[in-house]
Amino acid sequence: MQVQRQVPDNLVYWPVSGNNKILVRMPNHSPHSEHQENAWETHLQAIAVERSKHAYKALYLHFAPKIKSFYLQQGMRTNAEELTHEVFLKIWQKAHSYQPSKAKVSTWIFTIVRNLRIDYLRKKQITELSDESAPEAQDETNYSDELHTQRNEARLLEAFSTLDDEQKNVLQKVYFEDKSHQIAARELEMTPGVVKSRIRSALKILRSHMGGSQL
Amino acid sequence: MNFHPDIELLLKYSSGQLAPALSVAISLHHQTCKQCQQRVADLETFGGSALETLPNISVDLSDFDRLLVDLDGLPEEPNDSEFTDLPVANIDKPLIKQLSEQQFSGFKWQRLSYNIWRANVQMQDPVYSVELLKFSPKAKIPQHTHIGKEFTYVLQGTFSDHVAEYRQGDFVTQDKHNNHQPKAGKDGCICLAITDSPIKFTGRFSSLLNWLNR
Ligand SMILES: [Zn+2]
Repeated sequence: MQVQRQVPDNLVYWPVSGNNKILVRMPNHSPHSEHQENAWETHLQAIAVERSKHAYKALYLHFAPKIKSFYLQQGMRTNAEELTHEVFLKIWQKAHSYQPSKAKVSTWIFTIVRNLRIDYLRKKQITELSDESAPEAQDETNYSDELHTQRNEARLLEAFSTLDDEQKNVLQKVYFEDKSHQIAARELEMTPGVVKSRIRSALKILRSHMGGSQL
Repeated sequence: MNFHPDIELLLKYSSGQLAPALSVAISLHHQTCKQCQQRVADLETFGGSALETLPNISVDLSDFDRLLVDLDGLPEEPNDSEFTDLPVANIDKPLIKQLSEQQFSGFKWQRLSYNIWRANVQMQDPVYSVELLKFSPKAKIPQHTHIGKEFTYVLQGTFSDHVAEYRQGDFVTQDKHNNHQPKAGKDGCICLAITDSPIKFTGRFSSLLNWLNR
């Protein structure tokens, strides 16, 4: 979209539902997001070192509504609150192990949210591999030759910036919000077939940035 | 290390959507592969950004008070020490530890032929079956076809087929059309094999192997 070209590279329009476009700052670069990011890092440090409940509350007010949203969107209706609660207990316990050089605060929190979800679902013996949420494993075309360029060092994050809005949206919905193709299609106002083809084309681009051999 | 999980597997792995058996196999590769560590880190950053974009669902401030109450009496450390950040269920972590430390003697090995052993790996995975396969040096792995997909993680040694040689740490995906005849390297090979349907051996001894393999 043209809109995207008018903004700096590190900004991406990232619609999350329907036509609501939300401006999302991609990692690094932007001084504003860096500023905010530093603030969260300082908060986590205060939690770790001073056991600051003030910082803890600030973090809670910002992230808890999103985490609850994450669990609710994935059908964990009755447990969204409890899981969010557990995430924050973990944050309190693990704050000292956070390393700013390794991950952003939102990334670090995401991994806690994700891992509690994995354990929760595993306990419920729910399989994640339903046919619906599993896009076709491979394209018919032989991508290994044409895309086997020497880009071993290329970061996947750079590859993400080359995806268009639709591609990013389907990836987010299907992989990070665990939605079926049908539901993703409805929310993005596409047909399931378009969702499938967007996923395929997005995976193809990401794959080409991985380099190396994937059989 | 030359063979990595495909981007789709990494996406599902990083977002916590992968079947338990595959998560275990990929986590073994993830621990030892610098490239995939970077890829997973990137995908987790994507996940963090995705989290930030979600609509806010209002939380009750009484929920926060409840949290403060629970902080008292909470152990300083969470009780998930090792492999805590890997996207795998806690229940699978002892197995991951066992395999990454190459402790293979605790499994119930069953001899399939004079130079091939197998051991069942118990996991409650509704889709995939998991087994360890051990091959003597230079052992010819009987011809087999896959009804579904087969994923192999090389735990020790090497094996090769008409495509390439696979070494310790490699994660190999073979699709159902392969009718391949791999061969173990000079030091033999121990693999973790994950299949969504039983492996069918074809050729000599096949009926015996298939029977043993049930
Ligand atoms: Zn790798």
